[in-house]
Amino acid sequence: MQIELVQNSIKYALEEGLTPKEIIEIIENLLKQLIRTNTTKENNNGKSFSLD
Amino acid sequence: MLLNLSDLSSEPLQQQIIRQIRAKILSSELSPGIELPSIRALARDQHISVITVKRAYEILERAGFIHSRRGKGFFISEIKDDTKKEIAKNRLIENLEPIFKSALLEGLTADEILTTAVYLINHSLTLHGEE
Repeated sequence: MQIELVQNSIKYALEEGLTPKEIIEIIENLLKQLIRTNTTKENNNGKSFSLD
Repeated sequence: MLLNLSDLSSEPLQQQIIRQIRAKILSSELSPGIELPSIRALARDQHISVITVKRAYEILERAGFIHSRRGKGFFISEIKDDTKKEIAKNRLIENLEPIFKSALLEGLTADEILTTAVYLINHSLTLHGEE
């Protein structure tokens, strides 16, 4: 994972007034959405991501 | 208005100006109606070219963060708090989505990504506290 880009994005979000709690919620929702999208796309070959 | 611009950053100076002024507006550090330094004054204070500041102000104006009054200068525009949050949220998603998509495809689990993100948030808060 491109850690430096994630770190900068988080730093900028904090500077723009988002709270740590809000950032975590946004990330959780984004990951859930990406997993859902991937699960739908990969449904036929058995590959999927999980939040477990 | 304090900007912290760096020649050593890989981020272009124009982008640094835009990002830092936008952050000060979104975090309500700069209130609506406040006058920004003139293009020439900011360029002089930061030891950068007038063109760089002019282009940064033009982009911020087109995005609705600031507005100009003929002959008077640039001022912070009124943006509702809900809208500010939405802008910051959408920007974060826009930045993170391609990175997380790649990370998932590379085999990281969502939990691993989340744990890393939480670590980085705490790390940023620690660094911010030390400034």
